[in-house]
Amino acid sequence: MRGVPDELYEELRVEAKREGRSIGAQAIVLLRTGLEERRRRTDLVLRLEEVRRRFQIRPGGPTPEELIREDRDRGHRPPLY
Amino acid sequence: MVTGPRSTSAVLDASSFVRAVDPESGDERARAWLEAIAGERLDASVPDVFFLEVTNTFTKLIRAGRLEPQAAEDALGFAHSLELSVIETRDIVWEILAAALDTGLSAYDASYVVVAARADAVLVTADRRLADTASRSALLPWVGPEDVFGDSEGDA
Repeated sequence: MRGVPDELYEELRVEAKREGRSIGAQAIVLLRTGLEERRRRTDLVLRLEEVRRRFQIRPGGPTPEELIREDRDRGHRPPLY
Repeated sequence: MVTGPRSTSAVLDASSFVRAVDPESGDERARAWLEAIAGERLDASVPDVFFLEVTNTFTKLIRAGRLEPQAAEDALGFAHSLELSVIETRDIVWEILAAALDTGLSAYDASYVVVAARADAVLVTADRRLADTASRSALLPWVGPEDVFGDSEGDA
C-alpha cells in the first residue's frame, strides 16, 4: 500500500493478522465501517432537524423546565438553607 | 456558568433535551449541544430517569393540548437513537442518596449530579438550581458547547 504512514500500516497489519484477513481486505472493512459510522452520525444530525421542524410547543402554560421542576419537587420540600 | 477544567463529555438533563428539540424555545445553544451529541463529537450520558422525565413532560404537554402526539413520538424516537450512555440509577442509589441529603435536592435532581460527577462531565441543563449544584455545568440558554470545549468540542 503506497502513501500509508509506517505506524498506520503496522497497526493495520497487526489488526489484519488478528482478524485473519489480508491487509487490503482489512483496509476495506475499516473504510466501510468508518463511512457507515459517519453516515449514521450525519443521519442523526439531519434527523434532529427533521424532529425540530415538526415539534412545536404551543404557548399558554408552564415552560417545559417548570413542568420538569414540578415533577422533581413533587412531594419533596427542599430544606430552607 | 461553566466551572472546572476542560472535559469532553456531557450529561444532558430532560430540560436541555426538550429545549433542544423545540425550535420555539429559541435556544440555539441547546440545539448545539444536542447536535454535537448526535454527531458524536461529544460523549454523553444520562441517568435512566432522563427518559421518564422527558416522556412525562411530553405527556403533560399533550394532555394540555400544547403538543402533538406525533411530534412527541418523533422526539422520543430520536432520543432513543442517540449514542447515550444510560446509567442505571439502581447502581448508584447510595451516591444519589448521599448527594440528595448533602445538597437538599430531590433524588431525581441528584441522579444527574451524581452521573455528571462520575463521568467528570459537564451537566447541561436549563434548570438553575441543578446547574448551581453540579461541579461542572452549562446553564442554558447562556452556555453552549463551544463555550466549554472550544470549536473542536472536545474531539471526543
